[in-house]
Amino acid sequence: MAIGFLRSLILYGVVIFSVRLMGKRQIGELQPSELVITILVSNIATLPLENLDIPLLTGIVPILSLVCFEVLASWATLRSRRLRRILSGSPKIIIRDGVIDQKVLGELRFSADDLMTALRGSGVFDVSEVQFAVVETTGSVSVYPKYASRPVTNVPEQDRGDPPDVLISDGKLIPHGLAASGLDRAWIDRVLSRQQLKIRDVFLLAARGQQDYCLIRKEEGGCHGSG
Amino acid sequence: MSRIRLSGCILIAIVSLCIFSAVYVRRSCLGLLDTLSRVEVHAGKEEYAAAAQAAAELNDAWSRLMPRLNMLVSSDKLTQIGGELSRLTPLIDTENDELGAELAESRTLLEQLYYGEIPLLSRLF
Repeated sequence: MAIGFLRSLILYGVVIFSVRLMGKRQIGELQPSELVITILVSNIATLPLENLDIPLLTGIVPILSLVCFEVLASWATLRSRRLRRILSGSPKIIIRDGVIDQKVLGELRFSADDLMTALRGSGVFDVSEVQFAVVETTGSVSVYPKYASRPVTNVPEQDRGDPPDVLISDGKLIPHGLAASGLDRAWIDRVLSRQQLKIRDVFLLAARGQQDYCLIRKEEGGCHGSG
Repeated sequence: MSRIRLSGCILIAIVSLCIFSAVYVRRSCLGLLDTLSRVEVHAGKEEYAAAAQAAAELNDAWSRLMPRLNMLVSSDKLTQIGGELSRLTPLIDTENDELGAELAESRTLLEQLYYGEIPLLSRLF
């Protein structure tokens, strides 16, 4: 009995340490690989508790190994967009200007009921009120309402149409973002040359138009050159 | 220390532990198998006094190794091996016909423990 108690204490410490090492987010925000690791860690932790005949290391080594693999994989995905797409997938636009993209919905295996449930969760009850709806890699749905459907704020807001497109992310050019924005590479070069920057120096460049953009350098905060 | 470095250090520690575990278990098994071979040789020549002495050494060695092996190997395997080894001395003393079978069984179990530490592809699946 005492052995079971002490093992529980040790494994509790190991699991807490593992969760802290991963820097967990809430369940609803987990990437697929993180969800897999969470489930595996919880299952593996019970093995040495249920069966006192197996060494404690049989539980500790797999838990720590999986968590370390996850941390290193997330570091690697930070460096490589391709790897990020392979492991986590990419967000998919399912509604654009009030029109549902049924082909993408089919690929995601989202039914109309699933879609309406997700929209209602964001406070939207009419599809025509949606400017953009995106299914994130975590499975959650982000909704950007049309201008007329947005809540009134103290700050007067202009109808700026679609949300900004991400053109550069983590020092890499996003070709489909550039195509969607209607801007070209020459515009990007002009904007960067004004700040004496190269693409690899940019943390994030998002733009709605030639005059409306947000440029964030790496290792610095704040928007530069917003229109 | 950043999470990445800490994860790297933990992984290196785990790999080192795995290598140490494999080397330690295999070395322990090799020593036991050598002693078991002496028991087999003496038993084969019907030198039962020498076989009994070797069997006693084998059991002593096993008793010394058990606490550490318990941390690395599941205890049901160790219990099985311990049971087999402890049966050798009475069988030698009574010059029982089943001694040969028990020696073979002990050898099989020790060899399973020895080869069990090698991460072969067939063992992974």
